Amino acid sequence: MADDTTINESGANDSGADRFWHGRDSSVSLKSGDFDYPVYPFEPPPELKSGKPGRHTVAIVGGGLAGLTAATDLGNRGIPCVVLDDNNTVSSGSRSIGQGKRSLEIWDRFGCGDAMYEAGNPWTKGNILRSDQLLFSFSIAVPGEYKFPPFLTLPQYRIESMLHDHCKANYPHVEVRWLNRVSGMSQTDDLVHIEVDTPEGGYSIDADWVIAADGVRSAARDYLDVPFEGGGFEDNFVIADVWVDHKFPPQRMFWFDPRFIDSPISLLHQQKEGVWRIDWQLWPGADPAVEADPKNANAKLKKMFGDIDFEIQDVSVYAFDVRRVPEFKTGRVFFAGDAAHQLSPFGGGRGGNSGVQDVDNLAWKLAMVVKGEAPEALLESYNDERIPVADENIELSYRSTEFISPTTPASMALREAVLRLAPEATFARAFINTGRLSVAATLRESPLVTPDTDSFDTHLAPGDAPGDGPVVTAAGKDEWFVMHLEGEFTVMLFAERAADVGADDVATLKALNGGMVPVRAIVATAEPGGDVEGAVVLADKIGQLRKFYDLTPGACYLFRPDQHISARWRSLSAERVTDAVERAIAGKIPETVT
Amino acid sequence: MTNAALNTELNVRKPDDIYHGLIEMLQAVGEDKATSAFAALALVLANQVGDDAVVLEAIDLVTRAYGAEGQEDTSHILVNEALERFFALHPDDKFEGFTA
Repeated sequence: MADDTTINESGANDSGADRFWHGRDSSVSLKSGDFDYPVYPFEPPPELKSGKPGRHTVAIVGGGLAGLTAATDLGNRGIPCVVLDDNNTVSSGSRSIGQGKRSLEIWDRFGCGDAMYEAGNPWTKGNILRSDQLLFSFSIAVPGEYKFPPFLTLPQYRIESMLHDHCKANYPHVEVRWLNRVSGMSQTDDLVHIEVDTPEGGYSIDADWVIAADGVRSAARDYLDVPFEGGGFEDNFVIADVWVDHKFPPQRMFWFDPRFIDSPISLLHQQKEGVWRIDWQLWPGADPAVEADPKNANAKLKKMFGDIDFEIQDVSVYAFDVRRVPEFKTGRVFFAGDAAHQLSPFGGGRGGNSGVQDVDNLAWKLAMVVKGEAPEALLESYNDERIPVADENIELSYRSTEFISPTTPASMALREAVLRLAPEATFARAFINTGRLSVAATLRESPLVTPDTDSFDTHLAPGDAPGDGPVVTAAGKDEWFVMHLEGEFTVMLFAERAADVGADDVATLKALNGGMVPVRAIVATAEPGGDVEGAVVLADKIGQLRKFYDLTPGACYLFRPDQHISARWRSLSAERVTDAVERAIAGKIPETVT
Repeated sequence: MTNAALNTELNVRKPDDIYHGLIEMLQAVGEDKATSAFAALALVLANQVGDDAVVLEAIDLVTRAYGAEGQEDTSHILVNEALERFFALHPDDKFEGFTA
């Protein structure tokens, strides 16, 4: 059982997402379907023998969802990195289970998306009830055809295990060090110095860059004296993962005034292997440590299930704090995930997913800087791009918590008004806020993004994550557009037929592909077949790309290495594309790269 | 009972902003004055609506919404019963089930 039950003076656990007890007793066999918690061995790092500080390009503190995504992304880009994690297994406790479409696209870029989709369970329908009465049902399905659903139910520990295995199998330059606990950190203008404790003694490393993805109780924040500012709510929520011998359709069920449990609210969300995510709220004055005790949680669940067989896999108590660090990039250290920003679990799938998008935003920039392809100034944009996103997530998360956890009798009365009106007055349903489900970040105000000079009539704009759609390859295979963007600058040029692409454009595409910062070429066509020298030809199978991107012959889009739209025009010009690339990397394309 | 003139469909653009505005109003006026403040808001908005018949219909709707006290069964039931009740009323044709 992990030792994270320290209580600070105010009576709260000294973690941000106060987990009083995460309920993992290794002597109890877990009915978690077909998942065996891996135990990663401790391997004495070379620094222990040499006694000298190790020199590393990138060190990642924390091997959780954000940390392992960062390691995989950097590994995929050929950047050596070392991950330091104080544990020897993947995450435990009731953590992220709703993996968003954008996160899946990011992991798909590394080649992990298909396996994750197979392992997970999509859902589209949710229901919000008050006691026995349905207030309304909703669907998160978006019109159109996409490779990935809006949300896939797949626990964080499975994603982490897949990413870890993928790194081990494919990137010898990515080193994950388990049972390596960071015990000190400081930085100068030139490097970050990290002290590390292991079961076989201590050592230190000097890194050019550090990604601090060590979670809500980030040690890196403490060592660097970085504040974690924001506010909290007093109510406590129990979040449990329970194996249950009973099925219900994969619909998300949220109750106000549930009849089956003594709580003002309850959330039921079934995970794939017969494990239910069950949430409930503690009444004011309840002792979180007592409620998190599995004996008491068991008693509560027994009243809920009667004779149905169940077994608690994990139980955690959360008190909601909503906080962030002032600057995500602090010198040579980049905070990502919960270490950078903390949200309430009822934010709408913004916690784990925003950590993944943090590192997706950072890794390509760091890789380019390390390779000498972009100036260090590019790294400042991590603040410019991710802080506004975090602030939006914080605001939305705060609003959901205001509704789920009213702090005063009058605000409780306000909520009651909404719930009472909802059955007859349909407008009131829009006011019910049990978590506004998150979508991909848009970076429209970013200095890296080129504002439109031509007009496009579509919901997508420069700064947005890409729109997906079914495509047919030149070889006649059915595939998806976003997976073809890969992880480099890419220009997509549209033509009715491949043969329509003129010699000038072909030459431009070739020249762009041959530059110091190569820009790959995709030609999207209305009609299948044909080829264009130096470009991947993809047919827009159902016309979805044409619609989403408002494509006309000659229209082109420039995508960044994180696949976000960088710029777009009604015609292709090498000069405009080059200018946009330089704007996207915050500097001139170098003459040579190291 | 239907409301002839009262519009009960969503007519505001940002419900979350309005809800948050009300929360801020409550914080500003304080708990003691909250009930009265809500009443004041009702009067302001009734006057904005202008049409007396519509305002009276709104009052009727609210009276109905708060009238079900004592008629609801709030006794304890098991969760599978709650789910069975729900899906009996709202069947999910696409449910295929999956093995635990």
